[in-house]
Amino acid sequence: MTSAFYHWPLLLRDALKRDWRLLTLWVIGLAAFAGGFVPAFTAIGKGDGLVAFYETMKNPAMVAITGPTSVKTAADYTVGAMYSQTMLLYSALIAAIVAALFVVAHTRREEEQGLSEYLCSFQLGRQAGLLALAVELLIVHVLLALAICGLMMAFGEDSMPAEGCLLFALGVSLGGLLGGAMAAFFAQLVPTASAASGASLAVIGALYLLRALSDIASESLSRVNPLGSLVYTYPFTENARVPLVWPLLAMGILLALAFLLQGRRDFGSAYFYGRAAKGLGCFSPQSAAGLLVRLNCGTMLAWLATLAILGAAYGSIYGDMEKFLNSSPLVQALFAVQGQSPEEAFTATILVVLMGVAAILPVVVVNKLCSEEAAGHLVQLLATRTSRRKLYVSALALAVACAVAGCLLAAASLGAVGIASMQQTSLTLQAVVLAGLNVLPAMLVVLGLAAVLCGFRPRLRLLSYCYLVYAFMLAYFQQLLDLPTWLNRTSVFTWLPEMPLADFDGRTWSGMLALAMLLMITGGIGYERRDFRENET
Amino acid sequence: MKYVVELSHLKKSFGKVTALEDVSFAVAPGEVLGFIGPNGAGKSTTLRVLLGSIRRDGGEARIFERDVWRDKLEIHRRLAYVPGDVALWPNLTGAEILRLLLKLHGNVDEKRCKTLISAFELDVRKKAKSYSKGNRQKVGLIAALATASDLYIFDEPTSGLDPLMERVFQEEVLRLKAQGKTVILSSHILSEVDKLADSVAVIRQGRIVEAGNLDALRHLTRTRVHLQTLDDAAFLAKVDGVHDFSQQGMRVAFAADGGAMSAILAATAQLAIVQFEAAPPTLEDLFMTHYERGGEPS
Repeated sequence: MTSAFYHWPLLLRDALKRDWRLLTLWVIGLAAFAGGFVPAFTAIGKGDGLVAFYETMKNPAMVAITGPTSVKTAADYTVGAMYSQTMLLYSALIAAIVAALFVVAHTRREEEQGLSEYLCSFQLGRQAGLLALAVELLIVHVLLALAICGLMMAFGEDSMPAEGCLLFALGVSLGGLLGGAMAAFFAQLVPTASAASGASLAVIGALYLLRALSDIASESLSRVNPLGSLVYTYPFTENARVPLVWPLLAMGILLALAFLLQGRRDFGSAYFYGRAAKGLGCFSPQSAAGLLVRLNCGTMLAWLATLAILGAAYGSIYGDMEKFLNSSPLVQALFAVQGQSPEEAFTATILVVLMGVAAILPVVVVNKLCSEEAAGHLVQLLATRTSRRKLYVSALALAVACAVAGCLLAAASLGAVGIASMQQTSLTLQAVVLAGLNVLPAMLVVLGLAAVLCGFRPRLRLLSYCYLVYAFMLAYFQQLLDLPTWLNRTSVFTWLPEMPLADFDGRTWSGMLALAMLLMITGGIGYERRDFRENET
Repeated sequence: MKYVVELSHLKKSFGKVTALEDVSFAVAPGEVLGFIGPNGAGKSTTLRVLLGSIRRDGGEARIFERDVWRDKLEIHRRLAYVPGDVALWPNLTGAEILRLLLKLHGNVDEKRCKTLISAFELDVRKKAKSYSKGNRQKVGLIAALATASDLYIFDEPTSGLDPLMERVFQEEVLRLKAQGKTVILSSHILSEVDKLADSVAVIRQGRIVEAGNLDALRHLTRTRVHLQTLDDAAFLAKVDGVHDFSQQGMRVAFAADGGAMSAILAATAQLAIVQFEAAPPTLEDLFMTHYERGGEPS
């Protein structure tokens, strides 16, 4: 079957020439994220920091978020162990997401546009494109591993020797390759690019979630999880290489299946055509607003379901957390000193995570407005009675509704399941839901930002996701990293008090709400005044 | 070889929908085939089968006497194709795209490429995302015409081009014809097919309803006659061989059977004629006839 791959080196060379800027950004950005926080962790590790961190991380709720550690006593907990426990899984997750989106764009999306078929009318093997892409992905991830390893070693942290750095870097790269292989596989199964990205991201997310639950319950289940087993390499402590084998195998199997499935099908076809949309009650649109709802129907339902499941999953950990707290007088003392209830403290932390995820859906809805415009679908609409303002307001109203729904759903499921799984607690459902609603203005400000980008510079609309990730990371790590206050304040999530720990700050809350509305109105002004784009990306 | 392209009882279904029921035709070396049919008849599907993009469900499809799916690479070495809607990478310039496409093909004449770029007046320094549909079409056409292939397949090649560029394209096809190359031209612009094609195959609902040499087919249809006369020409409607007669003021129009031409001319001699136009049957007449009659020749 060598003729199926004919001329793939030519495609590879061309792809590298075409994408080198993007690939460089990818490698540098991800390497900086995965390996660049070493000095921050070294700073945390000073004095009693390591012991305190270790005790906090013994909490099942934290293990669910970041993964376990192999260290058995606080004394053995090094900066290296702390770093790998906190950063390995997240970095691998982000590497997987980025790789998945890249692969879908270069497989299913190109096929949808007719580019793949056109190329194959030349002297090109039918599967040369996929092979060239796979090799390109491999090259990027090898470079990524080298970059991460090099960066980490450059900091010269004592507890992070070369072997551990390499293992950490390999773990992140394997995560990326796994995401890419999964996307290549799903690109064969479903007919549209958005369905392929959706499926890949859903599976990656599901793997992450499953591993969150099984890390506490049953270690062997986590080892079966290709994403979960990356953590069990325990860089800097045990330096185990065997856990890397399973993700590598999983990646290989997925890629092989992708090649097999592609070889058997026609160009442009798929194996699964979703007819589910009709059954879900997605009606036939009769207005601009209705059209927007219909376009986003699948995405909204998927995200809202995800948020509910995520909330419930984290909530189910409360029971384990209660047991842990009852057995650890040290941690109880820690909290008694600070005058906080442990459940409230963890609710605050987990809510930051949940609301960060919930903030993605409204941005997706607003960005859809711009992507539909670029695809040329909205021009016909605007030639009718529908005005730009009507379109914009409908889109934004939908996005705000999604923000509120997501927020309530996540908080309610977290609270309900959390309280139900604990024997005895002072936490109430009302408190959790209110704590969730407290973060709503932050989500709406991010939405406002997306609206402004959409209104003035639609090409840059992906920056809203970048800001969201940045703001979320800053808020999540703000206590650990001890950064200057002005830097902390650049994250919109830090402006609000951490409920249910702290008290509600009405002024900040309504101030942010006003800011969000201002941003949305500004975006609307820009949207009405700028040129309408067509047939661009 | 006897036939460059040979299709025999081709079948293709997409799920429950049958796109091709029974498609058979052949193209001899040096022939220009006009492949026409209404929307949704199966033209593009047939071409996609020929290109090895989709797998047929039944029948035979051969190019250069090789199977289109199995020997795709061998065939594509000597084939050039222009799709109906040329898809390009938005962030590459026209020049970069052409360079890649021609490298992929292999059999390229650099000078020819430059000549074509100036003939089609394409600005290759601009990025593909700024190209209109017509310009994208031009990229596809240049990529195909700059190669030295034996078979050229064009699917709606002039659909976005202005009339001047259409003419450039037609000149190129006539040049290919003079060189003895084989061409399959699928188009809705019947006047173009009329001008360029030697033979025609008409597809409708997945079946070939008419195929054959264009001149031979023209014999089977009628001549359209338009004349302007000062008199009342109503009596012409009753003459044997006159069909679809109509008169509006001075303008008279009807269709005349080939065999009845001299009798009709004799009849019109009585009239005071200002203008007389007899046009040979166009492809449109042939096509529409098939449509109205459901495939029966007149």
